[in-house]
Order: sequence, then C-alpha cells, then structure tokens
Amino acid sequence: MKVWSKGLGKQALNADWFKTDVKLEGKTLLAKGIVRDKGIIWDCQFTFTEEDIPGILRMMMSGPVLSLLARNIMVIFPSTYKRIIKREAGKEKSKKRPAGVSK
Amino acid sequence: MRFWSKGLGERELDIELDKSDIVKEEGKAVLRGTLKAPVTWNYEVTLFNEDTAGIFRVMFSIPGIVYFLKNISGVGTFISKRGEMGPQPAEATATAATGAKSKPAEGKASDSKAADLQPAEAATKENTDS
Repeated sequence: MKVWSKGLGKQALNADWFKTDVKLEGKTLLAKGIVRDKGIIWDCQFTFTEEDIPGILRMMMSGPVLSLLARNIMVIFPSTYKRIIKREAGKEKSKKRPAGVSK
Repeated sequence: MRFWSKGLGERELDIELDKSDIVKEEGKAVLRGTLKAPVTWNYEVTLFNEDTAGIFRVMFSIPGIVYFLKNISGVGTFISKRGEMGPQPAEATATAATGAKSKPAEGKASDSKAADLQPAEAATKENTDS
C-alpha cells in the first residue's frame, strides 16, 4: 500500500500489511510495521478506532476494493501457507547479535 | 484511520475513510481525500494487487476480528449513514483538481497556511500558536 500526503512532500511511503504486527488495545486496533521509500526505512503505525468501522466497511464494500480483492482472491492460499507454516507474517525483527559478541 | 510514520515526526495523518473518494485506476484501488482538520493536506492511499494478502491477513487475524466484534455498533452507523458517506462536494472538486497526476510533487492542497508547511514546521507553528 502506498501512502502519500502533502505533508510528506515528494515521498510516497510503501507499507506492507503482511509485514505488520497487529495488536488490539481496548477498542483500538494498532498495526505496526515499516514503510520504505528509496532506501528510507521508517517505523510506521496505523491506528483504527471505533469511529473507523463505517469507513472501513464503506471502503471494503466499494467497487474498486471489492474488485481488487476478488481478482486476487487466490493469494489466500500462498499467504496462509506463509503465515501459518513458514511464519513469515509480522513485522521484520532486527537480527540478534551473535552470542559472545560484546557491544 | 490514523497513520504515523517516523518521517512525520509527532504528527499523525488522520484519514477519514468514510469521506474518501475511492476510484479504480489501472487495476489499483485509489483512495483520495483531505485529512481531518487542523491540517487539511490532501492524501492518497493506493492499494495494489500485492496488498491483497496483507489486507486478508489483518482482516482475519484474531485482533482484527475482535476489533470488529468490539465495535460492532459501527455496522449500524454504516447502515444508517450510508447515503451521507463519500466525499463532500467541495472536497470532491478539490480532489479532482489535485488528482494523481499532480501528486506528489505538486499536490495543490487547501488554502490553509499549515498546508504549505512541512510536518516539523507545522508542528512548531502549532506549538507557537498555542
């Protein structure tokens, strides 16, 4: 997904929903991930509150989004495999320092 | 939906999905609109084919399902206000005028002074004003 706003200037940030950590806090859904743009890698966070439900439903039920999802419905199978078997979903973790290596 | 990224500093983009203009462009779904006040910047969110897996993943994740169930009253709001949703006439005109072709280099946003500021500058200005 690409997000652009005038506040970002010439940048358009690319976020990968598959690589986000999804967490619920009360009635709020938080999706934390990273965005990339030309070598830049930033943390990002999407916050969905109670008031967003009508907008989400409207978006999901709109023709363009329904059409996009329907055309790509088959990705459910490989993505489920990646998510459950290969455990590739979620925010990329930083590589751990090898044991015995001091700071 | 609120979007935050490190590049935005302390600012969050407050996107009103219920007022966005949703169009299909070259196989992509594009959402356009104006951010919620006080900073009335234009925004554009593009969903690509590759995003489908991620969307399904969030939709059918345990937190995603619980979030929906906890806020199930929003379905009633969606049904009752369905006709009122969508871009307001003024916003629709502005969005059409600043469409994808003019973004991101020359996106013409609103008349607001804050719209011409970069995030850090805008945040500083707000702090000064308050």
